Parts: sequence; structure tokens; C-alpha cells
Amino acid sequence: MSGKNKLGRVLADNAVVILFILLSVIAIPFSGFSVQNILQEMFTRLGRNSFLVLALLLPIYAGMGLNFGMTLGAMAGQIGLIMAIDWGIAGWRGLVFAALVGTPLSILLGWICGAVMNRAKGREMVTGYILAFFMNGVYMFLVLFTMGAVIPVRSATILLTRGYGIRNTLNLDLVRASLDKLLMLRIGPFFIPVATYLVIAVLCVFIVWFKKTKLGQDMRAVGHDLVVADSAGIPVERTRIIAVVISTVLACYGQIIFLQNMGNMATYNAHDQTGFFAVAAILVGGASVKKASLLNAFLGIFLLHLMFYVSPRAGQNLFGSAMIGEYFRQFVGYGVIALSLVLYAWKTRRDAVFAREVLKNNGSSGHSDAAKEGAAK
Amino acid sequence: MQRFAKILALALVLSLVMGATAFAAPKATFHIGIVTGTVSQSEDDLRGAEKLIELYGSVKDGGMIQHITYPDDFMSQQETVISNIVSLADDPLMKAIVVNQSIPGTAEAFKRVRERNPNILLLAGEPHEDPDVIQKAADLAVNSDFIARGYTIIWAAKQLGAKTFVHISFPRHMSYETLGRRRMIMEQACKDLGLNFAFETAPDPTSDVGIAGAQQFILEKVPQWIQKYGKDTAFFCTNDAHTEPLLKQLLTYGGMFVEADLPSPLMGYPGALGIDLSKEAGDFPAILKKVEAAIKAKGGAGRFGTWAYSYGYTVTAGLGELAKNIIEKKAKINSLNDLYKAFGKFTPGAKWNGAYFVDNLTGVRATGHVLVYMDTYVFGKGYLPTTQQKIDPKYFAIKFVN
Amino acid sequence: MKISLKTPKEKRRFLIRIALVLLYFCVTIFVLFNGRGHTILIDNKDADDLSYEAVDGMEVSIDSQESAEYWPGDRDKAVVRGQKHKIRISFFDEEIPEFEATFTVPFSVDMLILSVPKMLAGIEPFIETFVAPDFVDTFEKEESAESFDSFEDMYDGLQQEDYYIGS
Repeated sequence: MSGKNKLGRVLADNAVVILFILLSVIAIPFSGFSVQNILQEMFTRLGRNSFLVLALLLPIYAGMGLNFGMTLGAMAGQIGLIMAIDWGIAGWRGLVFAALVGTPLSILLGWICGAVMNRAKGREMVTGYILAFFMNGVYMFLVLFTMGAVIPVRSATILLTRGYGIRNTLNLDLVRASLDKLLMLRIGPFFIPVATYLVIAVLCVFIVWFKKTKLGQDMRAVGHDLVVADSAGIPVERTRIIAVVISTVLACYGQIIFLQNMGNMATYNAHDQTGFFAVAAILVGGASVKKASLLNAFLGIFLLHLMFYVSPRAGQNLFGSAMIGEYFRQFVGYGVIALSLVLYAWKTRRDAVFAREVLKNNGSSGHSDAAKEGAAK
Repeated sequence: MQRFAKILALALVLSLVMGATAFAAPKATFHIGIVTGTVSQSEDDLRGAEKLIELYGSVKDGGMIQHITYPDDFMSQQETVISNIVSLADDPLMKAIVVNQSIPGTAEAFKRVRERNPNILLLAGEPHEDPDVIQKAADLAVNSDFIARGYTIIWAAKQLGAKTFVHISFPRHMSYETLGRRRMIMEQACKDLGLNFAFETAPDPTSDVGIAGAQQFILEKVPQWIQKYGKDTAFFCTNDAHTEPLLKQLLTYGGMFVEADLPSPLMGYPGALGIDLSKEAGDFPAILKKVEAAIKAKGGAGRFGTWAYSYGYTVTAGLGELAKNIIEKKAKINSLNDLYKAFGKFTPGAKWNGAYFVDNLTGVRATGHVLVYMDTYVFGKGYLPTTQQKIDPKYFAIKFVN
Repeated sequence: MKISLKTPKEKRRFLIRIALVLLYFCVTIFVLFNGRGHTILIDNKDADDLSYEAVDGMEVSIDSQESAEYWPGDRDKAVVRGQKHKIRISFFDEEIPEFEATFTVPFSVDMLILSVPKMLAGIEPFIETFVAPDFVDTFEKEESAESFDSFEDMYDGLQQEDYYIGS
């Protein structure tokens, strides 16, 4: 009885991860891709996306849910890249320059975002989501109308022919793969972008270290219970803003890393799905709105992108139509976010019921299995 | 939990290994990858790929064609666009990749394919990216010839007997270099051929009035325009959504129509005439016949034109055919003649023409970038020899000023 | 915001912030200047008035890039980063010793021409900003000639295939 219960709980707690592994196991043979190809693609995508996904961690620690507002940071990063291309700054120096331009912008945007979220406690996710839409408008205005007109732009090649506004697609040849190629290691048939991995490793170390600092501890306390943290003398609002600011700045760097790997930038759309895919990845990795770890992030990136990579072709080979594969991929992407949010709500309720039962059983007679388990916890 | 994880890991590895062996019985000696949009985004392009599959078989069944699609919101999903195209290069038999339309991200994807396998032939249909970007990445890029058509459309209007030419558009389109430059060429051509040029503004369907509002505007305005300019007036609009109501009103109130911005018998006509073409899907001669019969019945013979075949359909199928010919050493990549032959296979009866792209700024001729156009077909009259017209080189030198 | 520097902790924090801001500007300026890319067109042509003459065969390398051969009338390009560069010229005529010099390019210019003969003759300025010439005349000629040639090819091809011409 107890063993079965336990297995059920493990299954339920990791439902999304298990579902994804199952889907991948089914989809990989159907896709017809070679192992080498899939692994190489995963190495590339881990380098490309990890930074963005890791940017989500701090707000989760601070109890603010999944920070859809990271899109603001992505926009700041893009403005930085536009500037770097405009000034013709090549190689990794161009990336550093973009990051330096993006940093103050994303600090400002992150601060605004955090301040707004503080006025919408408990609804941070939807607030961040809508805020990203709003800022998208501001970004459009800035890039489409003021660049070349108010903000000086030197290079005519990145401007629309009408003389102001940046072109729809920006060619990032100057900085293309400059971080990846800084230290490209060849192991057998695989190319590993070591420099990119090192940057990600540094960020991981930073997150682990940050959790141990006073500020990090405060953040966890705030995330655990606002009222308790407040009465313990922790500046709740300030801590929350800092969490969002750091997340936004990291998203800015993440987007720069992402785009240097992509090699070109859809000026007005590149940030549209940034928050969405990062969130999907961390959820697939088994994180929830309240709890996330480095492992969740990396596992999630691997699984989500494995799925994204193989499912279009698998769907096509299975159903015989190229379109269905593509729709299948989209369906999976959105479906998993919905599923993990539903599962999270269901789990919260289940745990509440479970806790009540434990209390009841404790209050009455003997030690039931459930009580034992509860005590062990 | 540990054991569970181990089993899962094992299952993953197993499936990876199986992936390498499953579906490994190809019969064709080489493969051609075709990338198009989906039905909801660009149906004609996709039908072209289906035609190729019909001819040469799908890779899945041992044939030659591997068809994949890109996402509908391709601008915000560049990662998927790029990796989908690059994933085609995983197939060791893959010898050519055709992308139509070559949405942003295609050039980058081509660069990556080259890094993996420099022997793959890369063809780009209707590139959206800047000419110099796609030219560097692709072996051949094909656009519809916005320069030559600026002249030929006016010439065709004159053949139909038009005295006035009305160009309907709106500011967003006029800020595009291709459309804006073509308008200026048209204006100049009108002057030279003795037509009056008039510009009318209609609402942008992507603005807040929406497609319905923009179409309503056209429905209401056309009778007034005909009154203003007379019945011997040819109309032209740059937006696809405007085409259908425009045709509908021109059929009722008089006026002429040479061809649409992206001409196809499917562009506007089926809706304007209220005919059902579901049976004829992909069979352009049959479609053309049915549309022609309907136009004659409404008394529009000799006043309405189109391209007899869909441009998007032909570019997908034609580039696929060209790739096959090149791989089989029956054609050369830099021969316009071979390109037209490949296109002509899917457009029996119609001729193609075009020229290499010339950079407006530096004057450099790009042999990897071709602009093409086709004979105009006038309902009730037959083909106009549009492609045989000599075009004064001065039109090519008209620069875009906004 | 009022900055009070009462406790040593606050003082330290203030100093750290100042240092960070300084570091920010220093790094920005460094990457801006050091990462700035320039395209240098290297020219080996006679002067119009023959006040200097092109070198009869040399090998030029800029910084540590691979060297390229130049004959009279040649022009090639090198893409460099930063403003200070070294140019090394070795002549095919082995009696002339190798020439080495450093030069700076202006920060704001994207593309410049470096005339080697001028530099060797000591004529200043041997570096000029490159301005794209007007190409309209040349390309008109090319356009008409090339494209109409191919029209005829096309019709030959079509006739061979025996397409019918629609009514």
C-alpha cells in the first residue's frame, strides 16, 4: 500500500519530466536523425539557451514565480547589439560592448518591472507578461522611429532606406559566433563551444554563491513567506526588486549570447518568444512556480530542445505531412506550460489535503502509513 | 528513484541508437530538401512542394524529396527556422536545399549548412533578407522582378487599351524599397507610353481597420474612381487583401486589371467571382479555364489579366526541378536558360524572363541573384508577349527616394 | 538620494560603487576603441601626374594577418580591429630592404584607402577616407548587354522543348 503510494507520488511529482522523456523516446527513432546530429544540436542549444533559462532562477527563489518580464532584458540586449553593429565593433569585444550598453538599460527596466510587480503581489507572472507586451511597444517606437532620427545611427546599412528606423533583420556577421569560436573544442565529431560553457559555469557558481549571501538568504525568506520575512526585518520590496533586476540583467546577457550564436537578429521579433521558451524549458526540467534548481534548468533545456528538434521531423514521418510536424511542435511547447501549471495547482491542493489528513490522523488514534510518511518529511 | 533514472537514461540512449537505423532504406541516389510555409501562411508555395513529391516521391517512401515547413510566426522563432533548415544537412544523401519563401534566418541557416557540408546546393526563392546577405549565402536566389514589371505592367495596360493607370497603396508599402521603387518606375513608364498615372491611398489592412475595413473601403471607392478616371483605366494594388474587392467591383462597374502584385489565377479571382476551385487544387490549366469562363460570363473578356500559373507554386517546384537537373549534371547553376527551362516545366505555354540583380548603390551585378517575371495572360484574349518587350535601361537606374 | 558616509561600512560601499562606475566606463572605452573594425583598401597604383609610381611586385601584410601579393594597379583589402596598425612590405626586388611602419587610422572612418606608393614616397596623407564612386553609368551598360543576351538563350531553350503557346 505504502510502496504503491510512494511510486504514485514520484510519478506525479515528475509527471512533466517523465512525459517528455517518453515522448522523446518515441519521437527520436521516427525523426530519422543520426545520434551524432542530435547530440551536436544539443551541445549547441545548451550553449545558446542556458544563460537565458538560468536568468529565471532568482525570481523563483524570491517567490515571484516565473519572470516573464525577462523579455525586457532581452530587448535591452538587442539595443546593445544594434549599437555594437552600428559602431562596427567586431568579435567578442562587440559582445562586451553590447552587454555594457545593455546593462544600465536592463537595470532600469528591471527596476521598473520590479516596482510594478510589488504593486501586484501574487500576480507577478501575468503582470510580467503584460509588461513585456507594453515594453514591446516602447521598444518598437525606440528602434523603428527614434533610431536614425533622434538617436544617431552612423551606419546606413542597418537603417531602413527611408533614413530612420532599423532594418527588419539585422545581420550580426561582425559578432557572429564570436563567443562560441573563442575556444571551440573538437572532441571526436563534436564541436563544443567551451568559452560559452565557461560563461555559463561562472553564472552557475554565481547563483550558488549568491544563495549563500545575506541577500540570497533574505530572498529565500521573502519567497517563503512575505509576512514572516517582513516581521523579521527584511526589506521585502527592495529584495524583490533586486531579484528582478538581476534576472533582467542576466536575460540581457543571455539574449546577447543567444543572438551571437544565431548570427542574425529579427529586430522586431527576436525577443517575442524569449521569455516563453525559457519558461517552458525550466518547467519541462521539473521546476515549478515555487521551486527550481540548476539541475531543473539544464535538464529542461536538454529535454525541451531535444523535443523541439526531433518532433517536426518525427511528426512528418509519422503523419506524412510536413505541416503536421510543425504544428505538433507548437502544440507540445504550449501544452507543456499549461500542463505543468495545472499540475502545480493540483499538487498544491493535494499537499494541502495530505497535510490535513496527517493532522487528523495524529489527532485521533495510531500511526497510519500516511502519518509516518508525514513525520519522515 | 535512482534506478528509475537509470532505466530512463538507458531508454533514451537506446532510442538514440535506434534512430540511426530506422528509416534507412532510401532508393533514390540523392535527396533534395524543400522548405516552405504551411497552408495557413503560403499555400501556393506548399503546393509546389507537393507537386515535386508527386513527381519524384518523398524520402520517407524511398523517393527524392524531403519536404519540411517553417513555423507560421517565423520572425519570432528564428531558432526553429534555422535548425529546421540545417537539420536537412544531416542526411548524407542530401544534395540540395530549396527554401521558398526565403524568410529571415535562411541566410544564416545556409551558412551553417555550408559549414557542415559545402557540397550541398542552396537555392533561395523570394528572399526576404537583404540582397547582399542572401547573395553571399545562397548559390542562387530568385525574386519576382519588381524593376522590369514596373515597365511591363504599364505596357500591358496600354495593350488592353487603358488611358489611365491607377496605383493603389498605402504608406507602409511605399516605404519598402521594392514596392516604392516599382511605383516610381511605373510613373516614368506612364509618362513615356502616354498614360496618365494616378495614385490612390487605401487603408493598410494590418492597421486597426483590419482586412474587413480595408476591403469595405475598396468596395465603396471603386465606383467613384471609375467615375473620376473613366472606364479605360487600369487598376493596380500592392496589397493582396485589396485585390479581391477591387476585382469584384471592376467586373461590375468596368475598368481594367493587368495583374496582381504576386500574380496567380488564385489571387483574388476565385473570391471575386464566387467560384469553387477545390477540385482543381494545384491543376493550374484547369483553374485558369474555369476562371476564364466565369470572367467571360461576366463580360470581362479582354480587360482582366493574370499570370497563368502561381508564382509561389512555380518557384518552389521550379527550383526543385533545377536542383535535380544540376545534380544530374543536366543544368548549370549560373545559366538563366536552365532556370527558365526548369520553371517552364511547370508552366507549359507561358514564358519566363528576367535579369540578374544589380545593386542600386554599387552597381555590382550579382550572378547568384535573378529577378524573374512571366508573360501576362489576358482572359478571353490569351498571352501578351510581356517577356519579349525590350526595357529601356534607364528604368533600372531609377533610384528610390522617399 | 542623500549619501551619508558615517560608518566605515557605508564609506566602503560608496567607494566600491565609484570604482564600479569607473570600471564600467573604462571597459566601455576599451572595447569601443579596441574592437572597432576598419576596412583598409591597400592600393598599389601610379599617381595621375606620375609624381609617385606603383611598386613593381611586393608582398604586404598588416599586423599579423596573412600577406598578399601586389602587382602594379592592384587593390586588395584587409579588415582590421583597433586604430594602431603595423604594415610590413617585402619587395620582390631583393635588393630593396624590407619596409616596416606603423600608422593610425581615424576612429570614425569605416573604410579607408592606404596607398603604398605614396607611403613609400613619403607623401602625406597616404591614408584617405574611401568614398564610393557613382556607378550608375557602368551598370547601365552591363545590364542591357547581359540580360538581353540571355533572353535569346531562353527562347532557344523553350523552342527546343516544344512548348505550346496558349491561345
